[in-house]
Amino acid sequence: MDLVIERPRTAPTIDELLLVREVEEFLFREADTIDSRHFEEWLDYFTDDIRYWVPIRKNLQFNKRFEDSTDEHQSAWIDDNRMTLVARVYQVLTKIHWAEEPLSRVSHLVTNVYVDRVEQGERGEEIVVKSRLLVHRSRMEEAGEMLVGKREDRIRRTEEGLKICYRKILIDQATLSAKNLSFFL
Amino acid sequence: MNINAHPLVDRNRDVISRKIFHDPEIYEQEMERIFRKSWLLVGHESLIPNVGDFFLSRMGEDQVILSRSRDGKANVFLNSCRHKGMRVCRYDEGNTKLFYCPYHAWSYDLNGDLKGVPEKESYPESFNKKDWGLIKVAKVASFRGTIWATWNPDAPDFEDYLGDARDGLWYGLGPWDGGDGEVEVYGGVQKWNIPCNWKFVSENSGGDPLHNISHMSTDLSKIGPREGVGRRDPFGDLFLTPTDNGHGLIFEKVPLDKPREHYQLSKITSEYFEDCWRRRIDRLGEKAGSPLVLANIFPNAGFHTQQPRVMLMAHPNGPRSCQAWRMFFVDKDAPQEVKDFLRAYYISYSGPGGMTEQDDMENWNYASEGAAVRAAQGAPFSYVADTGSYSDPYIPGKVSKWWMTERNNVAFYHAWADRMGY
Repeated sequence: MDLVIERPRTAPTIDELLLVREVEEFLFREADTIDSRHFEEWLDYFTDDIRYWVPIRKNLQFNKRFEDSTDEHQSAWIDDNRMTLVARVYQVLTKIHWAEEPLSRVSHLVTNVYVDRVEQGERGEEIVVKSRLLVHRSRMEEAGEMLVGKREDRIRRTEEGLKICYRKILIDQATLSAKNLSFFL
Repeated sequence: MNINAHPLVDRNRDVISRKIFHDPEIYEQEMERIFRKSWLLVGHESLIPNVGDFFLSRMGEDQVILSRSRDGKANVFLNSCRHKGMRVCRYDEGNTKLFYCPYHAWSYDLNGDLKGVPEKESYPESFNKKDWGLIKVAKVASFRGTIWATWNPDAPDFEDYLGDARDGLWYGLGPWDGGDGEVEVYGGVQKWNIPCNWKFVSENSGGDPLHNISHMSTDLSKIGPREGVGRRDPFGDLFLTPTDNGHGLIFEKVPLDKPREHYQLSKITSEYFEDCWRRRIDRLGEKAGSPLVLANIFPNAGFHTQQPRVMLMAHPNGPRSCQAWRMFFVDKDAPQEVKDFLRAYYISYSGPGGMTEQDDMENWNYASEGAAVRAAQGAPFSYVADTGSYSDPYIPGKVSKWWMTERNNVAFYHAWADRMGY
């Protein structure tokens, strides 16, 4: 078996380090906004053409190891556009969304953040950011549930600052142990 | 079991003991008397289109393999090696020639028959491979794309088992135009554990429109595919009808003269639906206006056959746990844009992330907890709502005059009690 040997990267430039710091700060603030229950404000972190996608993972043979999640024409846990994302927030605000009334207590731990690449999209510069996500949710008297996953964000530089235009979250579980996904991942 | 003090299912008063929703002994009996005797939904033809395709499914608590053998047939057998019980299949889906046990290398073909054991010479002459195949179900049935299986050799033919549910489900599981085309399941199954007794899910699928109030937040949020509608396409009035063997059916009455062009958010979907609706009326006439909306096929196969179109296997997973498997389906011949549009809508509606089902589960979970409240064991649940019935030319059985009725769930529990021997 051949081992793949990665060539060492050249040292990052100051600009690259600043960019990582900038997107980290952005993602941490976003997490803090949702964890502190500022749902309406949280929507401002997303563009109008946002796709918020959580595909389903499967147990498959090794030769499918890089394609073990559902594709964009198949089922998913969540696949929101701006309209459904706004509807979800609205549903919480009705105060009769019983799965979230009373609200869950949620913490997002965002880690392993790095900038994968920067692309020039049709609507501006887009920074592709990879990270890990650990979400803990507790509600009522329950100890709570934890979901761990991998996240890919596409963050666009707009006139109003950074905004997420694409988010894909791959939860590690194939069969979900969480009783629902009424909280925002 | 001592049932003298309070019958578990009181047929005179239409009340049902909380005990049947949490008691471990009753749960064990259900596994034997219901899940080993009834027809159970195990999958869909579109999950295994080709020879060698397999789909790992479940019957009650047990894992079964659904496979397509060389003769084109769908086979269902336990995923448990006859030698030492190891799983012979560890994948949710795939294509293979053999199921090969990693423990001691017994291998089985797509029919579940034992093909090979290593070191055959060390086995006695009396060892006959024919006797050591994977354990097969007694019967398999295919109905309008869905695949069903039962452990019961004396089970009636599947269509007889459906009884009055047959016609509604035939069209409900078929293409939108009421024709002979096929539907397909979107790839990937939502599987998740719900801390509730499985029967709450069956009630919900087949006979509980009274819980409409639970979904007011979804209706207010207007996730429906048309601007201005609540959570699903606007239907007419709902009519419930139970079968005498415990299936719960909910039909609707929609006007034929109004075009069914619901989906203004997607022009192509709207046009597709309008075209289908016209062809449906041409084909079915008056009957087209009385489609099946919801169904629970006893014991635990749930269907939502209008929009969204989903099927649900609510697998029992312990007295207070249920493993839900949710699949979405769509006309196979629909344009890709229609499939994609409907897909996004279905996902926003159903499953653990679904804006509607989340609130359903909240009810099931805490009602399951409530069923087990110790001090309330003498206080049974009420199923008394009854709006009277009439006969309808297009809806079978005793059709409820109004939808605020619990007759479907009463029928479910009568069938449940019959099979449990109570």
